[in-house]
Amino acid sequence: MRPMRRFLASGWYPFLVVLAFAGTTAGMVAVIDPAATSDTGNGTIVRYASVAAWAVGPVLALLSLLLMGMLNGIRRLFKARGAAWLHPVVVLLGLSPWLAFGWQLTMNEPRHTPIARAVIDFAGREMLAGALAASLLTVLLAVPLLLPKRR
Amino acid sequence: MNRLRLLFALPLTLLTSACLGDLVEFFCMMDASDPDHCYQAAAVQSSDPEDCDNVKGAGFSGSNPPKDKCYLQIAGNTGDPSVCASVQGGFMSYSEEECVRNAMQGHSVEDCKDAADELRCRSAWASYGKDCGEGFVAQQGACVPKPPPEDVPGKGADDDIESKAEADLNTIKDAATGKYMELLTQAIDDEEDDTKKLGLEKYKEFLEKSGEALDTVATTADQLKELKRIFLDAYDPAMSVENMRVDKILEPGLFDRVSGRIFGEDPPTERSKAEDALSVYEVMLKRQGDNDFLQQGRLDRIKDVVTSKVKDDLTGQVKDKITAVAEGVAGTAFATVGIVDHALSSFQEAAQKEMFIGLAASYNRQRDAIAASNPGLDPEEIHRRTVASVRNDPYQDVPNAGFVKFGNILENGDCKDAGDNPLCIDNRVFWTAMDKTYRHTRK
Repeated sequence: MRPMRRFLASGWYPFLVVLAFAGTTAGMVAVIDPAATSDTGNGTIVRYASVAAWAVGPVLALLSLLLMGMLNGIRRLFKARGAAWLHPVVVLLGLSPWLAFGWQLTMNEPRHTPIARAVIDFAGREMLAGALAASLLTVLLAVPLLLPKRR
Repeated sequence: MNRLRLLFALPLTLLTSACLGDLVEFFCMMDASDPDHCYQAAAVQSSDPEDCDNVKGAGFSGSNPPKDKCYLQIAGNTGDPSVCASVQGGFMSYSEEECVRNAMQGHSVEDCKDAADELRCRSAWASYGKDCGEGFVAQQGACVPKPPPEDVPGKGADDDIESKAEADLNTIKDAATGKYMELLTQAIDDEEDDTKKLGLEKYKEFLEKSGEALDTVATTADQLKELKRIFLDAYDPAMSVENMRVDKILEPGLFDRVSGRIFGEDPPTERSKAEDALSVYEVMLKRQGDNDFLQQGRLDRIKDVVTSKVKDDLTGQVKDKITAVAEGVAGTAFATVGIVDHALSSFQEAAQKEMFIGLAASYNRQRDAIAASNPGLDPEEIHRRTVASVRNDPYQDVPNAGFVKFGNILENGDCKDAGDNPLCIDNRVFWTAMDKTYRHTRK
């Protein structure tokens, strides 16, 4: 379990999670194919959204990595780097804005205008799927923290 | 330049969790080329008619078509015709009538539940000839919440008439023929709640017949109170399968809702609608099972209450007479019906389930046909005709020859008459489930 704990304390853990987030988000664009299935109702918006949709995952993943870096910086200031339970918490906090926004767009936002339909279909659903998958990965990788440390 | 802004705007909207309408409004401040349509989109997305005031109508004089269209689109999206009061109208613009028509198309007064001002929305529906909706009444041109039934002491079922007639009560016959019966009759006349009234009427009938059959059996005010309460509970519609909400039964779980939103939902098919009807039938059967259990409990309670002061050697006789009187008066309210388990197990096996799905699909097909050929007919009448038609010819309009012989289910009759035959329905529940599911899936 020691290598696992070392992994969780390293920079590879958040990097792997944001990579999963970016990959899942981009993958969902391919699976859902919003350009073919969306009822946006505006050709211009669809054209630009089709391009922007591929960028959503990598751009947000980069922003998440920056956020996680900032949060880890704050941990360092408060000398909390040793607290292993904070590793997955910081990663989840880094993903939480996209989880919240993706949820709001997919589950609550009304589809009243072409721009709203485009944002929901080309970014919202993919963002939610990516954030959920990455959050699940974060939790699964953190399970060794629940096991007793081997001395 | 505008398209470039659009390309950047789309990703930037993702940086916050603000409502999209507010975000679009923010970018409208930077868009000098067509602020009217930008603010219009922002207002329509937020469904906020006040934001339509930002639409200035540049290039129009005497009317403001983009602003009127803003109200029209909000009304059409929300089903709230009260928004249309702000429509100016005029040359090349939209009229209030067009706005109201748009609001009512594909909506009902119940959509006002989500409106910013529910009462104003319902009142607007009422002003255009519709009713105020469930739980609301029209008063002086506006819709107000229905007042709760008055709880006046001395009126209705909680009037404690037993204490008022206690001095004259010795036997059940005294209760059935004396002052107590007069007070009970008056209480029934004063009762405004229909279901309580029905319970009291059945109680009165029970008392009259018991007075003849059990004229020497002693009774007390407390016993009569308890008997009255049992009858009122028996006719309380709260647990009835008729009042079960199909939308709650068929509501998908969280996982299904999220995956449906992410991957999209397949449009319903005839088979899926029939399967939904069977799911509703199953849930309603379980509720009916609970009701049957309670009914049996009530009959036992009646027997226990009446025989509590009877000598042991006469208890059995008295109980038999009470059972006969109670079942004769109350019919299915106290009848012992233990068929729900049989009905539930009848469609659990896959091949048998296919037969039930076929029967449910036949109901849906025939109801579609009857509704299409009788457009103005009341839904209750359409349902009644559909049940008769399905019973008469379950295979009518079956689309292919390879069907499963689901008509056998009807030939076997009700589960209480079917013996060991597994293919049967509980008629108390099956047709209600078909009717309510049809109405829910055809909304």
